[in-house]
Amino acid sequence: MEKQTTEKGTPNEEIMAIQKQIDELNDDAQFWINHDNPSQIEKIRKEIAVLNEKLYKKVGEQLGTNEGGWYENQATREKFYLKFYKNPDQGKMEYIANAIYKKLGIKAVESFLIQMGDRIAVASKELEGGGETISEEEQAESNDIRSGFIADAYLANWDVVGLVFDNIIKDAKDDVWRIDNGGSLTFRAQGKPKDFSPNDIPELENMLNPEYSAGQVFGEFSEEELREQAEHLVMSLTEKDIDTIVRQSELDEEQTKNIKTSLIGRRRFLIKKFNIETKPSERVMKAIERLQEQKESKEAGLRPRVGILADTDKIENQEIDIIDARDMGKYEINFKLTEDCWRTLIAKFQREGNTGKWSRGDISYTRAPNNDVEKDEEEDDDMSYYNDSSVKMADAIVIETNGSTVKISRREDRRSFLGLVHIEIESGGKDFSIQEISEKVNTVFEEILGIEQGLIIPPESAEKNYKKARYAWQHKINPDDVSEEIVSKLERKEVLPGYFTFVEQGKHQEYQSLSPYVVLHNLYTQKTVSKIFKAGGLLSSHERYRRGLLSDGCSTEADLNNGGGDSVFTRTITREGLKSGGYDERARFYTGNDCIILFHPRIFDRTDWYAYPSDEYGTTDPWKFEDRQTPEQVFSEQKEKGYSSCNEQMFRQGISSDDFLAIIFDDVSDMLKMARQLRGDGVTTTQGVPIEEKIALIETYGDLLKISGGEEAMTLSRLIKENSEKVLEGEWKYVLLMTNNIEHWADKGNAYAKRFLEWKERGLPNFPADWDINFLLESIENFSKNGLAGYVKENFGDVINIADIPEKFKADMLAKLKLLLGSLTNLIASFHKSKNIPFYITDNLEEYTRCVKKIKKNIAPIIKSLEKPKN
Amino acid sequence: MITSKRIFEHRVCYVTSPEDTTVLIAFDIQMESDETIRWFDTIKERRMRVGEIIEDTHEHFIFKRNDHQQKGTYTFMPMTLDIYNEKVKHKILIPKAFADEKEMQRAFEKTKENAW
Repeated sequence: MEKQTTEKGTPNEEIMAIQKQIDELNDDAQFWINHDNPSQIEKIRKEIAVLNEKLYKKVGEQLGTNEGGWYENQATREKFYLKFYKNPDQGKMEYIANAIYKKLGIKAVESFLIQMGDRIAVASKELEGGGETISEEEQAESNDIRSGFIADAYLANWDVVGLVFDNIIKDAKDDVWRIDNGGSLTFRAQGKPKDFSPNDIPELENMLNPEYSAGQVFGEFSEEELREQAEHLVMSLTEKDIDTIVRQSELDEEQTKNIKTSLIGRRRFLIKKFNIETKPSERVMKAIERLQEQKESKEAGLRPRVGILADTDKIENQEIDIIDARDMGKYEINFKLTEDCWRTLIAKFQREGNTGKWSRGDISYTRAPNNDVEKDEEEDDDMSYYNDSSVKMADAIVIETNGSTVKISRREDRRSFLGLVHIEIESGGKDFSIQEISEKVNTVFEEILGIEQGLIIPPESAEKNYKKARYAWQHKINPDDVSEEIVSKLERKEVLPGYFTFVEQGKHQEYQSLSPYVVLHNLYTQKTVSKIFKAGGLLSSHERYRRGLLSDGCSTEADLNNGGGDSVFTRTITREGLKSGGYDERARFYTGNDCIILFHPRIFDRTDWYAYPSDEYGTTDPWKFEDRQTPEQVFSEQKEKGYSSCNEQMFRQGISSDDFLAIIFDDVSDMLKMARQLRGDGVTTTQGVPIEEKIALIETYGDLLKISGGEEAMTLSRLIKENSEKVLEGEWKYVLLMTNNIEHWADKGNAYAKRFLEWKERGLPNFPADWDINFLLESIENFSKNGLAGYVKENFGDVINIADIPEKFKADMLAKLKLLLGSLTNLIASFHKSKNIPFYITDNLEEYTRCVKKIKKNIAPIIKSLEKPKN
Repeated sequence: MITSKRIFEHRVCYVTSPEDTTVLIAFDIQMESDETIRWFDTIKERRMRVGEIIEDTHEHFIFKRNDHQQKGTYTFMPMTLDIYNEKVKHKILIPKAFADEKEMQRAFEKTKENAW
């Protein structure tokens, strides 16, 4: 036999030529498949069959009952298991099942049909590392397996796990695969026929029966889990996809028709059973129904919003948002056209001229109801800005149609409005159904915006292109350079209620291997935190404005102008950056007056964020945007240049509160205040845990890194359990602080008195100045006239009830107050006793005496209140 | 260790930079010991590395930034009603008229509660 490889193991020219010839013939075959020409296909198949026998060399023996063996492609060195079924149709059915699994993104062995001489086989590619069987329990726990149950039932893959659980294999990366799907569709595993109904999927129950091996692995599913899987199947596998896959299987005409009918019928069965919306108008209808469920966002002063996937390539992020603005008698729909599409549309309107079809107007956002309820009590009633309810945001082309108004932003200098389309649809009275609203939306898309099928779920091909574009955007590479492997890892996820983006699950672990890191966001007042939780997370300013949360104050428009207004900002600290920046991880991390949100590092799995190494206000201006950092650069540049607190990352639309690791403070008192504020605002739990488990104490940079790395935080719950003394001190921080102040004043008074007396004895002219005396007495008087509770409220903004102060703290304060009174007596006495009292004291002696008398009078009721026993 | 100290006694300042159109209003200006200046601008926290302090008087604080490629010059001055009316008002999302500086300051303060 001719030697087919060189000594170095590379394929020889003849083998490479065979491979090339086969590839070309396969392309030809595909052409004829698409043009439905069986005779041409048959002719080509025969040629390929001959060549395959030369290309594939048997290297391993048969496994299982069906004839087969391991073969190696001598050109690529890849190994395949070739199975020659007695009935070749079974191989074709297996091919269909595997192709559908692949289409759905479910891990099933990749296979293709191969003609070897006069026989047809299913060739299944060897898994990385060969693979190993796993226990029934491990299979049951595998998400790779559980997430494919609906697909298994849909394909009637009864033998999916194997009689002795040997059809499931784990590869070198711990991914778990379905490797033998020959018992799918109309065949049983042993080759006997079975019913494959187009009208029912009995497997949805049968395959969960614990008497069968599949049932033992799958166990139970909630209705919601099944619905989600069914929705995924329906959305990822169109009827056209089914047609393509079945035709590629080369079943005969009758079988092709039967299998297609069954697969399409079963898909429709899932749509009906799980009430899955597939028509554009139905999807809008469902979205509007979902809007009614959002009560919490209303409490935060925001109008409810839901996002639905749409279009292929003309709408940014393939998503449109529907806002419930029924308080103004309408629904609002917002989305951004891609820049090219937007410019084309604007140019079209301008070219046509204003012939009455459109007019010039503006896009305005209007304050939502309940938005001004937090007006401070002490604010003037005549502060006019509370009356402003609507803000003009951008000039627009306005088109009025039957009951809807379409506004297309014309504003180029305000980057957050570039491409924006805002549709207002009357929500109408009783006779105006949601169905009608849905149809109106569809009409606007098709007739005004020229986006046909704008409301369809993006098909797989469009989604794939978008995945590539999104990944390329984030990593600053050419979309063509985004590999299939990466595309397969990207998954569209709802990262914020109603907002979807692509996520590369687990990517943050790669970043963590570059350097452990921490992602933070500063807030300026604790009052905001409840609103954030109620809104479902941090929201960009543009998102808040368009949902009606218009700032009551005087916010600038700068962030909308430069595009940063579409994002939420974070800062990142990497351990490598701290090292090279000369920071000690053990150094104190101060939160000061801020409260800081610490995020789960997994937010870096998202593909919709960009970064700058310094404060650029998140600009999207092209001249600067090209200098943005890729995620990898965030790490490499910190490592190289050191951590700078000025860095910024911008996350589109917002960050879900599910991604909050903790709200962090460097002070227990602030933690307690935060908990009280949240509970007072009705936020008692988050992510299924009491809010106290999400409020954490941070002392050092190292603490931040540890928590972000998965270590347990010193939460308020933990502190209460493990260090009640510290919590008590935190609770009464300002009382303790006042006790210290009183002691300090008493010490000062005594020290001043001593100096006057010592001068007489030692002759040292070291008198306290008059302003020292004045300052001391003024401070004490200010405290005494306000009373303890009044002083704490006035100076620290905290409300205390004296009766609730723990006895030991009361006793301590009483002792210090008595010391203070004694020291004031000593001070006045020293003025009288001193022989050479300075003139500025003698001049003010009467005033000082009067002041001390007043202080003593004021302090008496404070002492009384502290001495009063607790009821 | 980072410590904070207030560089201006004035609560609100007007900020300009010929190289940076995004600055306008500054609250709670603080200089940190790692040569970073920070302030709240009614929307978010701004942080910049200070390269050189050009002027530090009661009327002005002027610094030259030194952040990667950013080398712009920034000038802070106390916000008065006149400055607000002449230079700030038209760049505010919901512009207001104020009777006095106290009212103006309170309106700026209020932005903190909506700064997410």
